[in-house]
Amino acid sequence: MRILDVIRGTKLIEMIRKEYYLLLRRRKFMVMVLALPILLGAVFALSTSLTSLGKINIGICDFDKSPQTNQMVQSLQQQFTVEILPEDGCIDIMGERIKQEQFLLGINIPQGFSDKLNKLQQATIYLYFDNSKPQLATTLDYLILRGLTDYKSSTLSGAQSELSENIEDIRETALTVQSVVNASSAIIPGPTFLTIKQQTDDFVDLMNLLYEMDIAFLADPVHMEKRGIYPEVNTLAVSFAIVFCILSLFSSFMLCSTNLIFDRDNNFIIMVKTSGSSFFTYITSKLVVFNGVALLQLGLVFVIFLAMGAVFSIDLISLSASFLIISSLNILIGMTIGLISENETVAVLTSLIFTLPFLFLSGAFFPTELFPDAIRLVTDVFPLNIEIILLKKVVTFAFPISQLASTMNILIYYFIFFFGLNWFILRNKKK
Amino acid sequence: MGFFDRIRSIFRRDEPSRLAIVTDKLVIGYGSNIVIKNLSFKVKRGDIYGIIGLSGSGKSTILKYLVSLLSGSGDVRILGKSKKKARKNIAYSPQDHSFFNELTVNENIRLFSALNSMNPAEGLERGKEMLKKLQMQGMEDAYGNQLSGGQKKRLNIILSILHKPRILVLDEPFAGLDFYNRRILWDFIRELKSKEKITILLTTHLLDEAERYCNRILILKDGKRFSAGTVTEMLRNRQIKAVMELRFSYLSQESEDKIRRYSRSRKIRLLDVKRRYILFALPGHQQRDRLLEFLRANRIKFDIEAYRPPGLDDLFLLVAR
Repeated sequence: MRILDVIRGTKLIEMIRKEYYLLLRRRKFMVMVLALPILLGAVFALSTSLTSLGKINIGICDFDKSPQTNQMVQSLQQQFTVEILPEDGCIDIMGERIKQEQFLLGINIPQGFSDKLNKLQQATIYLYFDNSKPQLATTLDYLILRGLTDYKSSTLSGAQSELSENIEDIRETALTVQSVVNASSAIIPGPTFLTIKQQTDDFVDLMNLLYEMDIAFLADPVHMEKRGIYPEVNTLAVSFAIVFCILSLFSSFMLCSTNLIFDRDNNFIIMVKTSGSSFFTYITSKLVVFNGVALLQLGLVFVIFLAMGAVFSIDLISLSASFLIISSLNILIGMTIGLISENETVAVLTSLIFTLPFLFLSGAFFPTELFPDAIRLVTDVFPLNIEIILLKKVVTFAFPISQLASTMNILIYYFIFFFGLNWFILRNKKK
Repeated sequence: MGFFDRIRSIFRRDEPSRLAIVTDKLVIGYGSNIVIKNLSFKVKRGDIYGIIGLSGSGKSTILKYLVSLLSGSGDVRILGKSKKKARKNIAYSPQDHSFFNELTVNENIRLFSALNSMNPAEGLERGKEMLKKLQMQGMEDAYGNQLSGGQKKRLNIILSILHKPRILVLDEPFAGLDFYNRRILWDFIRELKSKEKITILLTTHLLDEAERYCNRILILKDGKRFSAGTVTEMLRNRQIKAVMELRFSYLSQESEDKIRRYSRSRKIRLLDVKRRYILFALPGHQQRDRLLEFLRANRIKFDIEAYRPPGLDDLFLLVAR
């Protein structure tokens, strides 16, 4: 009987039919199934199609001022917007303008740069960047490397032709020596001797050049060394800010949305409403409890980063205020997700739908500075992005609370908006 | 209102001070789906008022509207006040439990005391008293998920009356309960009415228990008032004085049609018609004899299974028809 059933496939067909109907008729589920790839695809495509390189401003301190450095600057100018800075206090000016975000990157070409290249030795340029934005530095590093590819190739081909010419000279010298030796092996007259001496000296020089040639030069004639404009900034501390904000976002979205659905399933929201209690109290109770949970997470992450060698520079009041606003905002967004989701599965899916674009547009993985202008309008006011900026300022620069107002205010506006939204939905929700 | 008007009004049965709930032309719905259509009813203070009707007739919708879980149009006065102002005086106990299984009975009591602006210590004291009355003493430290179905229902009600509301709204409090648990709950509800003077408004599908324990009943049909009042009043209004059950040895379609025609002309209602069985609602005792004469005259053979006073279930059959 069972074999017959399997052969007929009736049960299978009916089960497939049931799944099909359920998928089709649970609209929110279906919307999410379709929205997730569309949203992710769009956000990913937009966030990875970086702005045109021409919009990247680079400041250059050229202390070498040789034809070769000119050639390098021209090579960069073909792709980026380059400004040559005056030599006096050049590095300080460059650092300041990077801090003011007038330059995304600074390049210091030290004196003796060309000499080294002429000696077939690897020369170093110094890249100055905002080391509180590690993902920006990594991307710029790659872009500059790509931008200097032509210049490096031409440097190497120049060296190659010089070597070829010299090898030709060696061959000629050897031939001359051979012919002179063949013609007059007994007595060598004065002028001939001088010629032979000159050629022998050249030969020795060339041999020295080849002897002193830097092997690294062949692999990479121009080495780039990154230098942060904030010597006090610890990269691990920056990572801590990013990690905590992402952690808070994930856990708040998941925990608060499912917690709200749990309350709803237990009729607690109804009881709050019918008892005449205020939803202000209800939302506040969630904020208090989940801020406690977030504080525990903050402590754990903090200890782990300390153990890894992170060095923090913290103003305690600023940290407390920033933590509270970041965590509270994420809790409120999580609650909103719970309120618009019909069950826990939908809540988790919705949390994912919210979280992934948040991550892409946060600057945690792709530098928002390099996004196209239209996307930057969004990323500049995107909660996670602002949360990361705020916490970075607190844990790496020890900004006092008075200097955090501009960043914190945006999050406070979000907080007020989501608090009001939750209150409104709770008050008007039928179930 | 003058002094004499006041004195006079005390003796008038529907004077506002004697009414717990007054609704006028209620229209309630879920979006475009209108469930309650122009419904008006009055609940007297201290009554146990039952709302019955077929599933989907709008029983729970009315309760949810009264406790402000739903919005609608029409006029409502609760204890002479608007819904908003009377909110503290009206308590609601939903059909499904509203407490947390992860909390103990006492922890739930504390939470719900606070929710109803009550000192938790007072709440625990009152909770203890209520637990005792509902035969749940000693269960203070039991978790919600350790309670039986009946105990959960009882706890649900306790949690809603901790703050001594003046009106208690119960949505199908007896659903899924056995006779014993129902009896405990009914006794408790009657005690709330008699000792605490709480007006009870409840929905139920248990007609005989509603008839026995409710002072007044509202019967809903498709979101409209089908009948309201005491069972006697409703039967009188519907002109049903007796019911008679007849079992026929054979009932042809022709005979059935004859009976239907005859009944219609004599204001006799056919409450239930099966293959060889008909339940008649009679407007008077004389109609019984005349009906039987008619059957005999038409040579329709029958046995009288029952001839009895009508009840709520007979009235309800009119709704279901």
